[in-house]
Amino acid sequence: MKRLSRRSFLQKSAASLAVAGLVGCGGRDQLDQVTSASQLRVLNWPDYINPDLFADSVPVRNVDYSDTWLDNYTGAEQFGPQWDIVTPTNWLAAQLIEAGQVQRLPIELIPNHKNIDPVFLTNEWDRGARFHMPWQAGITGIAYDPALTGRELTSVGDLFDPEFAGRVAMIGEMREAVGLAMLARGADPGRPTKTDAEAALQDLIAANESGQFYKDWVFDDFAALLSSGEVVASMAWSGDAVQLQQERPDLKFVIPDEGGVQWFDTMVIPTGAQNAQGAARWMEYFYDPEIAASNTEWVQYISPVLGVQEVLRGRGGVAAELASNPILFPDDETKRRLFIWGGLESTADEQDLDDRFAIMAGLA
Amino acid sequence: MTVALLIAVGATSWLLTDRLVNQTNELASSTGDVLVTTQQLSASLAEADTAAVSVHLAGADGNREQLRLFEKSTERAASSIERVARLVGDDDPSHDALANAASRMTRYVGLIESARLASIEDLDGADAMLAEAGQVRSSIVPEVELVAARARQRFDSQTQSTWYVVAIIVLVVALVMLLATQYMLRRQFRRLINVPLLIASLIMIALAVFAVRAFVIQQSDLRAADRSAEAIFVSQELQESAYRHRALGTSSVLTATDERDTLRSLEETLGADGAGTGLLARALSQADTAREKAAAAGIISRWTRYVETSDEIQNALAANDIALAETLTQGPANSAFNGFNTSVEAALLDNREDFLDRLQDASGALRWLRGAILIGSLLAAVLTWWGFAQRIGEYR
Repeated sequence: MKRLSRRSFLQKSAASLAVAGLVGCGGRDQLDQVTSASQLRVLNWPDYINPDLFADSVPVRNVDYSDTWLDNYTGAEQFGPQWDIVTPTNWLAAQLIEAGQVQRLPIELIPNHKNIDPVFLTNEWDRGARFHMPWQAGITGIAYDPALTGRELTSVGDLFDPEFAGRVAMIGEMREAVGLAMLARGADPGRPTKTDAEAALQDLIAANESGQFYKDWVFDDFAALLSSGEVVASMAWSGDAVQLQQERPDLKFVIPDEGGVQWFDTMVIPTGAQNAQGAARWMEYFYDPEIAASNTEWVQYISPVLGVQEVLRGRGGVAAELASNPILFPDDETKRRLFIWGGLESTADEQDLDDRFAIMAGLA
Repeated sequence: MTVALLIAVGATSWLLTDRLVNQTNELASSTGDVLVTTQQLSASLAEADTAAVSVHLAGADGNREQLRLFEKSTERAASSIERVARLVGDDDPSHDALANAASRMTRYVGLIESARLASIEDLDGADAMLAEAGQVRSSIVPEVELVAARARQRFDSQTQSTWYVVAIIVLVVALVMLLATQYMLRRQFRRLINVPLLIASLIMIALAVFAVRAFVIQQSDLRAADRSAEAIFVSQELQESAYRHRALGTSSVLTATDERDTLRSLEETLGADGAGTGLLARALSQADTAREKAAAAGIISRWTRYVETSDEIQNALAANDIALAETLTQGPANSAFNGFNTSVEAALLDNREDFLDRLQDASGALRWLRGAILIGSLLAAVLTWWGFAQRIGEYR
């Protein structure tokens, strides 16, 4: 059975984030008191955790688990001390940390913090991961049906090929769509300049207006469109693509030659959360390589936990097959072609880009 | 005479306290920040170097993500130099050292870029340029160390100031003078209580208690800040030794030489097992809180991982498998070293917050004392004068 995706976007005005920033209480200085309460309140994306782990062995009792974080925009409205753990995507986590809405992790309660893959430790917005722990990571690349395209797709440029006009689905996530378009231009989404990002957005607008893309900008539903043959190719999230391949092994997912956009969702503890201790125990549990491996088997996204690949290999069978899947465990050569959106220098410029992207994609 | 003495005491205590307040403020706003920023500068340079090696070894394949990391690291290093230059005030030797560091940074970045382009074109001399860049990078270290050492000297002299003792003595002397005056008046005029003089004495007692309390809090905060500073110094030594290990390991790959013995010696300096007298053991033993202990344990764990990959590289070199050594250097070793480097940096950022908070607290402890001493002493002087005037009036 096809699971629902980790996210289905309903982009609203990103002003909601600003509102959340205004109402967010406290700053870093009032934090660092490791609070505890009888209940742990977790807010996560839909179907983004192995239910067996959650139900049977999670060491925190009395968990109020919600999977209603549907996207980063409406999610930001829910963000606050009424939750103990929330899972915003990396760029939003950066903004929340900067706004003082996230508290420092009680690492003394999370010995498995040492298991964070170092690639996630060099982010400028939280060097050494003092305020967040990565939850799952993914790659935005291209999924396609070779039987319908009639050829292999290898480049971002293929999404703009007039031969596929109207049959290319695009994901309505600005940083990923603009990021891919930047890669097509030889620009680096890891260090986006306003000029490069603007040029990439104009490429998308031009293609959109010419009817190159499928009539609606999509989110997790790209998989259904691809599976039904309504589109021949799509921007795609790696985890969804891997899940789709279980039903349709003939479909392909590629990281374009120019590179792919990598993102990751985080676990953060909101400022003023009532059960930071419980949150820490939850994080500790899911950073045990054995547990993380079981979660990877289910969610099929990239695990940020060191040792997961070895555990899966050791389990043999389907698990071992996952361990050698380059989409779940990118090799060094692949890693070199992955870029995490670095953010524009000016927050206002990025907001403007967000707004105009939303208008173009019909999401505003 | 007593009135004049009280005014003099007030002025002297105010000056002494003012001096202490200014010193503590400087610690909080300048010296402490210099210590932390120089350490961050070292970390940025170490990260720049690991990224540069990856970019270089990637050759014509390129490695944009590592190139981005290199550029970010050098930007951060350059901005650290600028920040320290703003903070060191008129300390000429520090400015000279920072100017040297800045010019070498420019040369270092230029050499790395030249080496990268030569590597892409597969030209001869690319490795030599990278090696030279490494030397230039190494020559920045003593300059940074000099600035850090001078900041440390300032820090020590500012935290070890004993002027507060003099201020307390002066206040106590004034109090004794007042009590003596009370006693003298009682004997001469046979009046048991002179209310204004009594109030003046009480004010001086309150001032002395307030001053002692403020100085005790300030000294306690300074001692706590000193412990945080010590952790920062250890972090700096740690990162420099680790960097030397990394640089040597890289150069051994570029020149295909076995450097196992020297690397082992550096590993002993660091004390990778977390025991004995190594820097990592020191970091662990100095950890006061559960958080600091956890951070130290994380650093040791990440260092151990890096040393394991370093051993694999040396084994590959011993087996003359240069390709494997290069792959390990730009892949797992690079990643493991960055993990170590950023975990040290994260611990440092924690220390930095604690350190600066303590200094702010120390400064805050004296905030009201300066004004209280001035106003209290003047009030005591006025009351004393009034007390005398009252007595003289009664006498007439």
